[in-house]
Amino acid sequence: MHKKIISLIKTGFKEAVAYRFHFYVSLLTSPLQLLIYYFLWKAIFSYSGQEIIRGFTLDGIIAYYALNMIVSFFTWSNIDDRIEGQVRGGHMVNDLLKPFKTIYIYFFNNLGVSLLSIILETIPLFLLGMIFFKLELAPLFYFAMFFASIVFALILNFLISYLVGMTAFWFNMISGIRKVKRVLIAFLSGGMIPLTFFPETFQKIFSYLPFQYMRFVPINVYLEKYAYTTVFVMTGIQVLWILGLYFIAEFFWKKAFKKFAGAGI
Amino acid sequence: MRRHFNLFRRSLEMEISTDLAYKTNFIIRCFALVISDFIGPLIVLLIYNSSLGVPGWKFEEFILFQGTFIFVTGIAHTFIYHIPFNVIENVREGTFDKILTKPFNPLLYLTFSSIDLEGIAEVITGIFLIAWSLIKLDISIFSLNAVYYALFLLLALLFLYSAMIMISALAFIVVRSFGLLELLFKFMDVARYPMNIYGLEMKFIFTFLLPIAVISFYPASALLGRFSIATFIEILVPVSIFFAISLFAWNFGIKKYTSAGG
Repeated sequence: MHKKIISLIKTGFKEAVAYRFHFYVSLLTSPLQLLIYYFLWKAIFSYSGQEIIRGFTLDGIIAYYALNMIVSFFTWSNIDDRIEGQVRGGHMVNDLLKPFKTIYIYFFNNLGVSLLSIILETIPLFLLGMIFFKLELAPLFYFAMFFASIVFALILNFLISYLVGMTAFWFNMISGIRKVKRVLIAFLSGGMIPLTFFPETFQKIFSYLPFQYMRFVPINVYLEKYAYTTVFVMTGIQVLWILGLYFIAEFFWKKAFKKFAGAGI
Repeated sequence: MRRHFNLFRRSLEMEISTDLAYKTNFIIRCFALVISDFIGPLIVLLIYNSSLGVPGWKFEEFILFQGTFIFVTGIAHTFIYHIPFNVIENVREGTFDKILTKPFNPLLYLTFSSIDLEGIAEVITGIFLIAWSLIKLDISIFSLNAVYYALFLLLALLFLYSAMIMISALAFIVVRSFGLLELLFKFMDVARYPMNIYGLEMKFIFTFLLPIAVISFYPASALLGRFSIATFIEILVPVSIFFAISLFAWNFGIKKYTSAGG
């Protein structure tokens, strides 16, 4: 069991190594993007003359965007893309034949990609953020909980990706659905602007959706926005969402399996 | 010219039939583009609700600015962006020779045969945002400023066309140049916000060295009556130079093409 899991993670890692050029490009573009945010918010803060806007200082908001990038790289998942390819190409059988539940095969594969992303993106971005973008090292408790919560965020992102990928069994071509998913997650998770900028009602609605637990909550943990107990409550809710989505995914997987003909299209 | 028009018509017909084959997916893709285009203005709205915003740009003016960005990139998406994709794919597969054997100039062939219809969704979104802000700002489109606006828009498209030619030319040399395309798109994010925020040095760089500012800043400012024909001529120079360099790079790249794939 142990060995199988490790070999699945290894495969994911190696597959990602083959695409390392992509990682290098993102290392080049993320400082640029941070720089754009920096100029934008610097202009807004100095023009408005406010010290704090919606709970963020200028340095705070730049650190927010830097952390957002770190979280988004770490939680990256292309499993929907992969399932679509397998279904359309009729290669799904290969994955079904493996001595493992398919969801685990995909998850550990995905984990392998994230491990490479730690080396090539997350750590370099952390250093870059600390040197140039006012990112400070969080106290041990918050740092540890941040790590736990981005692992949960990774699982959440994976499960949603997996669910979206499954729609391929019904629709065959799902590049449109995948794009909608990507855009909505980026926006509703607080990946474009902190959710505190939304009106109260919206913030309330967001707290009942899984998206904020994928970016906004982990980032806030790092930035020490929560008291100790709240941190535990937040990560607890993450776990609940993971369990909920896992059961939904299993339910639909059984349905999809019946639909599956194995031949491709 | 007529041959090129026929080529364009044929490519358009082919593109339409491909999209019709996966109708639902096409509609959802368009929908996704509309949502992602609306996110920019939404963020602007959230910013202006919590602060005074960006100096020199009222909320409606900022929407005009972003609408212009979406409109220009939408047209580029529909008619221009597919050029490098075509080149990269063909170079990687080693099938670019097919294009070389066509009775057309290769660049013109690519220009008239690269269409991506989903971009229309962006064009419509852009027009909607521009129209909304023009009504709010009470600006007439029958004015000299609107003429300047149109001229700047043409210049913006020429810049994007040149940039795509440049990436295509590099595809002959680096083979895997999707990363470069990604890099360019990220650079274009600079044009999502007015040049005022970047300071003078950056404004200079994005106007004269890499004229990204021509995509949205110059057209939108012209429509608001902040620039005149003199500015247009000033911007015409770097964009033309950029275009010339891209053509030079293209000719250089096509000579380097080895037909081997990679």
